[in-house]
Amino acid sequence: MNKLLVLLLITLSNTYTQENIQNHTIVEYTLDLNLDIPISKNSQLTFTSAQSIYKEGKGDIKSIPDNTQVRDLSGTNPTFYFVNLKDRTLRMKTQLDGERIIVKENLPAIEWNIKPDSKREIMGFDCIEAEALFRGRLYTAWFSPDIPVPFGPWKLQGLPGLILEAYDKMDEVHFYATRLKYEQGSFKELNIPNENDDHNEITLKGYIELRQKDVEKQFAKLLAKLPRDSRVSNIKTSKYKGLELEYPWEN
Amino acid sequence: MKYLSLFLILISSLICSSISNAQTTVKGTINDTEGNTIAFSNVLVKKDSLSSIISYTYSDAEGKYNISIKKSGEYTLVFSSLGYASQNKIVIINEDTDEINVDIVLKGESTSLDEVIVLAERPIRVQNDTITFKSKYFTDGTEQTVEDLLRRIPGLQINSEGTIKVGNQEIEKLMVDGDDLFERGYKILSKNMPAYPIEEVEVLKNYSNNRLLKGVEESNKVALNLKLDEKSKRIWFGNIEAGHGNDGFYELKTNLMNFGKKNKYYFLTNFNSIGYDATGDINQLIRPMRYNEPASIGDNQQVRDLISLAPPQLNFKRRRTNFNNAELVSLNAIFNTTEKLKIKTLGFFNADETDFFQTNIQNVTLNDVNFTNTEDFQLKNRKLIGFGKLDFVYDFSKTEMLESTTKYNSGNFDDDSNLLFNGISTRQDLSHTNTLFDQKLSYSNKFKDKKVFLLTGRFIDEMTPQTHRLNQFFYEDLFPDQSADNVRQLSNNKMQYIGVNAHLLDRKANDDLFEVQVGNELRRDRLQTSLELLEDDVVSNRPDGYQNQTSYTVNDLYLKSKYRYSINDFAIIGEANVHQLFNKLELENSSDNESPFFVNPRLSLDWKINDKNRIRSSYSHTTTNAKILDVYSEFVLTGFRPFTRGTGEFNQLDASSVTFNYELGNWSSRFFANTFLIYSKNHDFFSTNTFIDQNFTQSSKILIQDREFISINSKLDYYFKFISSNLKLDLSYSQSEFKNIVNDSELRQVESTTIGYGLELRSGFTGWFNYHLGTKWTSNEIQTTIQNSFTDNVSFLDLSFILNERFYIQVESERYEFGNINLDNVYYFADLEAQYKLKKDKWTLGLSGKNLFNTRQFRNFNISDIGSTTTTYRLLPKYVLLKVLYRF
Repeated sequence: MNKLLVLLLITLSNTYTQENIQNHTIVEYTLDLNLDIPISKNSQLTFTSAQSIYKEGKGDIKSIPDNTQVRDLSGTNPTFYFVNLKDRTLRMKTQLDGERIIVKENLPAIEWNIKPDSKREIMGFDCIEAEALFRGRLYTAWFSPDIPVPFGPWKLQGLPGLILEAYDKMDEVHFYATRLKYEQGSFKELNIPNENDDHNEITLKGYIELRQKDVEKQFAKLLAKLPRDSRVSNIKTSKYKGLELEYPWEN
Repeated sequence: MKYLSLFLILISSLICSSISNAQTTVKGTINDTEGNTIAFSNVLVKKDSLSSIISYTYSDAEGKYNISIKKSGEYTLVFSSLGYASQNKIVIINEDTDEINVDIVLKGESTSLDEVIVLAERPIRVQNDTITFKSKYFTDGTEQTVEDLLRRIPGLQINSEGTIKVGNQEIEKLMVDGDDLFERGYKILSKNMPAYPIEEVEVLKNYSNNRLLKGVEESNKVALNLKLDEKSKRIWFGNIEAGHGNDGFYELKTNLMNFGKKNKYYFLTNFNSIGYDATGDINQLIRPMRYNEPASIGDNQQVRDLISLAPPQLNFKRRRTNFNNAELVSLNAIFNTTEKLKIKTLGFFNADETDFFQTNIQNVTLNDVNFTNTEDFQLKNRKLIGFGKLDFVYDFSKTEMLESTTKYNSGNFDDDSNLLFNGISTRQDLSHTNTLFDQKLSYSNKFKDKKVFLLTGRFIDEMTPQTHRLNQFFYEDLFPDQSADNVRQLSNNKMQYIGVNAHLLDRKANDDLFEVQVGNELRRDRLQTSLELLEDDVVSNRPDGYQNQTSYTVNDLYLKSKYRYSINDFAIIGEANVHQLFNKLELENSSDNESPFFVNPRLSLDWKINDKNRIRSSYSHTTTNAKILDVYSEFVLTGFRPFTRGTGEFNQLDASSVTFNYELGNWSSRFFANTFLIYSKNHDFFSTNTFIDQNFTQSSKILIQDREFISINSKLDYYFKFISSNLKLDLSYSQSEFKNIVNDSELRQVESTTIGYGLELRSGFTGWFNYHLGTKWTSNEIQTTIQNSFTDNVSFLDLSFILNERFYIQVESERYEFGNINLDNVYYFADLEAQYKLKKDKWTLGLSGKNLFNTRQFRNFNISDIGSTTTTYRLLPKYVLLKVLYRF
């Protein structure tokens, strides 16, 4: 009876530890965004050979133009992007209006065009150049086949090597890796959602619509709070401008 | 029968199968050494292991992969996965095979890489008004001086004289770690300071010379700041370079520097006989000219030499004709003694002896006068200049400061020319000195966040006595019955200036800018000249009409106001300057007063359409008062042929001008275009009434109405990625009109048109080879009663070879072609520079060869409104210099 219990415990602990002892790599990226206001974000990509987690940090506003007030609605918690090669999905975990939501989409098949004879060294790794049109932006990405995983910062993936730098043609988006570390040991599964976790899971299209409504709601709150003798001369809510300018369902 | 059809079917199916399905599928399974499948592993298809990736795929969750290859041939497949050693496998594809099976076993590999930490380094960083360039990404190791380094920074234009511009705007100063030593005289730093200690180059846009004005004044000014690498800070470092060549050509340069936070020192010496002018433009150091700069009253006040004997400006590298023997010693220091007090000292001593050789054939063809003059001219200029400047800057508080600048200059010049004029041997001697004392005191107070008040006072005392001797007498026709055989012209031009200016700048909350200035400037000029006709050494006559005792006093009481009205990215600027002048002109026999009053308006607009498009335009009407050299009334011998005099009376000149500037793109765009247009009309202007004789000319200044000038200039830059080269296009058109009177003619109209078009292609390869080639045509046309035109072309080809880390060779070649000369009108020049580094950056051997084709002389053709001139210049012959450089 005792022997059986011990065996059970051993096999149980074995299976538990087997799931968690994996070599994983942590890469730190900086994103420089040059949209209406220049913003810099520090993020971290952690991956094994089959999945990756991209944790996006808070944006640091680099400079505020004169006569402008900026209200940051991005919330206090960071945004995560999970790529799962097994079921070919990309999940984004973020918050909207105080509520945590998970946005699920099929892993985008980015049609990368590798530039032959391109060569550059980044952080000591030999990198090759590739170009692709993704969600309204023409990206140039430098990837290293010496790190043979198809991952990269944010939603950029699908190359035969880790993307160490990526920028778009309009100089508005620039991702670049600043640090790389190999770690051995337990892979802290930072709340990776799996199929069971589908409460509050919505599609990408649904998320975009929700976000636009949220921006309008926040603005309405602001207008409503203005004092009695203030006059509003010009209201202009521009279309939300972010990394993605076009979506596959738009034509 | 049955067998025939069967046979046919067989053959056709065989043919069909060989035509169709021209692609082969390669598939297999990837396992590890324990037999487990490896999921999501990379599979790359390459031509051979070193070439680029043709296509790729991944293994699926079960370790299986498949990929299609269309063309037959030999390929290398690369299998790699995280945590495993990658493996290559060669496959041969031919048309017959549909499918090839390649299974692979990968061996586990523990990644032993240590943590890689690299601080994100961007070659170009843009932050508000500052653009920072990390120099190591732009240089290739061949740069010697800071000027060479700055030529490699995109967006900076350096012309052949070393003037540094950002776009179309010249820089205000070249700072080192935030401190400036030379202001507009920055060339002394850029041409001498070595490039190796510089880590970053910062371009500061919208720069304010006065830190209290930052954010208040509207400034398009730019400045550069060189940041040194850590190991070059706070230590004494420098270099010594010595070179010796054939025929006594030599060069010795030393630089000694220490750039600390508290004190900065820069000592330099330059001794050379290879034609190199180390001071750049010495005048910019002694008398910097600043436009639209607050607290810069008196900058435009100087004494001009009436008589001058100097080599002309040529359109190619001055060092080719500059036969010199120059010595320059300069000591400069900045002391940040306390947090509030900064002391700057600048001093230099320059001795130079330059020779210039030219032969001139001048053809004058007017209606009634036709002659040809030949001159064989050997000029020797000797100069000895000593200059000292002392600056105090005291910060009372963060918003209040006082600045004092004291300058003293003493120059001694001796110009001798040996001249063969129409066969007659003539000696000309001009000795002159220049003594300048300049004191400026400037108080600035930023009394509110966006409001600044400046109070400036300035005193200048300058004089240039000149003695001009000629050992021949060519003017019998002017002075009949005179027995003279040589001539002496004495001239003393003295100036005293005292000015006070109060300036208020108010930057409003909505970004509008209001400026108002009130000031009074008093300037007194005294010009005394005397022409003496001598027989041997005895003065036989001081002829009437050739003696000047002029005193010209101008007192300008003024009010200047300016308002800048801006809406978003569009701004309109209105300016009105009101002047009340009190002029007094005292000639030898008369004295006159006048009090003119005038208003100078100006309207301009500045529209930043978006980040890549900017339009600037302006209209202005100005009235300027005549200067001392416009009003003296008796003739002065200003050369060996020309006698000149002014009007002898007061004059104010009116002019209107319109400018337009369009900028497309900026330095970081692949395409950048800058177009500039200026149209100006002088309602009155000074022209000349000249009497031309073969042996002399007599020129009197006259006032003429209406003259127009238009100039359009466009510069385009485009970067071709596929050849890694930048193309520059330079187009210009200018037309100007001039009127003058020659030999009692009617008012002659002279129209001059110049068209220029040039292109340049420069490579940016990262390998061992780089090229830079270009060509430029200039077409000139002058029309009076006759039409004269010619076209010149200059082409160049520069090649640079960096064979390895230690050794490089640079070749520069030029070709000049002049239109309108029948013979000898094509010239080739070649220069070579090679350097070999010995002990790791400490010792370097150099070889410098100039004018390798040994082009000894150079003929130039010029047209003017009275005829044409063919000039032949003697050039520095071929020389080869062996150099040794020691760096410490």
